[in-house]
Amino acid sequence: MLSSQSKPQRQYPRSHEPIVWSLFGAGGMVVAFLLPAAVLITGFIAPLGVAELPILSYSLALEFCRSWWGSLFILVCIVLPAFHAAHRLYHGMHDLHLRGANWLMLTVFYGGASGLACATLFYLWILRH
Amino acid sequence: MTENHEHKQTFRKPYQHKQSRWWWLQNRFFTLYLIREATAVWVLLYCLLLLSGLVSLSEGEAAWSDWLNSLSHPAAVGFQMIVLTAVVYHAVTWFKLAPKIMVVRIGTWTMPERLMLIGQWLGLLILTAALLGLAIAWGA
Repeated sequence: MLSSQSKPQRQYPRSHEPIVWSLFGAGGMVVAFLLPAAVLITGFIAPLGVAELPILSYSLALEFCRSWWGSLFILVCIVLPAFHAAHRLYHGMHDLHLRGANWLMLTVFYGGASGLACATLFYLWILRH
Repeated sequence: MTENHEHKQTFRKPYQHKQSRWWWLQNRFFTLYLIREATAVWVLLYCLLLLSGLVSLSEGEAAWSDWLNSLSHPAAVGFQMIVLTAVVYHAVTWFKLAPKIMVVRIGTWTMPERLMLIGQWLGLLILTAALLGLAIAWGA
């Protein structure tokens, strides 16, 4: 009796923070370490013709995206940065006083990133079939 | 915390400071903080650019070459210059934070912040050079 009174059994809502923060942290790593090279390829080397990039030819690009390591690379470069960005934007909206109902903000930002992740997985799957 | 405290009626009416929407322009530190957070906008847009490439690859050879050609549009080059700046600024701030979040201690020795900072920049340089080299050498 006594112990149950000293420890009230309260149900706290579980925080989403551990899950979204680990995705945010992983995404931050990808943005800092992998995206500079990716942007240099898609933004400078390919369009400005700095160097030949046979990997961007249709057949090799397809082969790259069909291999398990290539599709993993694409997945990591799109999905983790998307969750990273969603987390920053979710908190950034609050900083800018652009507040909405929490369920709505969660749905828009983390839901949006999840949608992007599903779309990436879907198109990677399509490429294999 | 007392039980059922949410059922207690309170009459407290705390003073709520009205913060301006433009608080982040008040000093340099706040402004740099918000610029760091704003890098996320460019990151998200770049994710969408990569996804659009994946979609056009799945649509066939013509769509893929259209996507590649669209990258050399001046607007696309300008956009990706902004993305690169944002990503590098993110890296600068991210690398600065890492030694504060994760202090490395071996025995009584603590890794100096500067060493960790140098290590991360070296890692980025090596990884970027390796990825660019791999991309150029692949299939050549």
